[in-house]
Amino acid sequence: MSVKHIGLKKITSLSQFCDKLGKDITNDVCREVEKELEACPDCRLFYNTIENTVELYRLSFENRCVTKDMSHRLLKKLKLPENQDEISEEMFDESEKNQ
Amino acid sequence: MDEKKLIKEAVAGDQRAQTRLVLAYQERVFNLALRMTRDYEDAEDVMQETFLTALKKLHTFEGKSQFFTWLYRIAINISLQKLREKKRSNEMISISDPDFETIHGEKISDWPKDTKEMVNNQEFRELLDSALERLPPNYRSVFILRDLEGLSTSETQKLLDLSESNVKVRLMRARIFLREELKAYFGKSNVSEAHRA
Repeated sequence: MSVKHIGLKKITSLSQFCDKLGKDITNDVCREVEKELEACPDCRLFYNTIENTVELYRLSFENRCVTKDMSHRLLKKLKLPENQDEISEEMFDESEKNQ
Repeated sequence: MDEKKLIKEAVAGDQRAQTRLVLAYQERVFNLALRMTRDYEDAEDVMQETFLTALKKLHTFEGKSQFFTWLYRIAINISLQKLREKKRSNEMISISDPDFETIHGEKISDWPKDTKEMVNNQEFRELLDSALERLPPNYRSVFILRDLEGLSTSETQKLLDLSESNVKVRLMRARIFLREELKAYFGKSNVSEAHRA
């Protein structure tokens, strides 16, 4: 195994304990990752592509809206009223039934 | 309204409070389910099942964790069950430590500068989807919760009942796995030109 392999393995291992992939300078492990990355340009490239991968997933999986229809089906399934009028009406019906 | 009060009222059977709670969290639960299942219909099913279960078990919520993490745990479990039923996930793939010799055996090159624009490309989105689908569910959950939902390691660990180091190891392996899946696409010659065409 070459020095490069050891470098990358070490960085990968260390970076598991550094959430921000070497960018959190307040964290000792992150500082060490950053130091290792500086000494190994290939490792830096490898890490750039990992960061790029995460970023691409974040961009492509932006939040989708729940449509009114979906929301309606959800509340129907849960047998919950959709608005206050409906709630009041049901509560009124219930109280009438109890009388 | 204060969430604790809303939950208390919902537990007491106040339907108005239950509705408000559901409406407040439906979008987060739906998006988590969509990321897990990669299918709109399945995600809607998961969302419905999640709230059915949550309302049934709401009295067991002790308030020790945040309400959304309690809800996420239910949604993740239902999503995993859904994936198992449909057997869409490739359970045969096992992810072990990355093979660094192989990685270094290849010439590591930077990816094109305009990769972010590629997310608007249908072919590329399908690639992202299929790569995530190939990622085993126990790794996918960690990747989604940590990198897409932005949960902390501690929250993810509690939610999935994993040790802290297990979350970190799975996250790193998942990231490397996905990176390797995308690498082939970026390795194609003139990928940027093809994308722009």
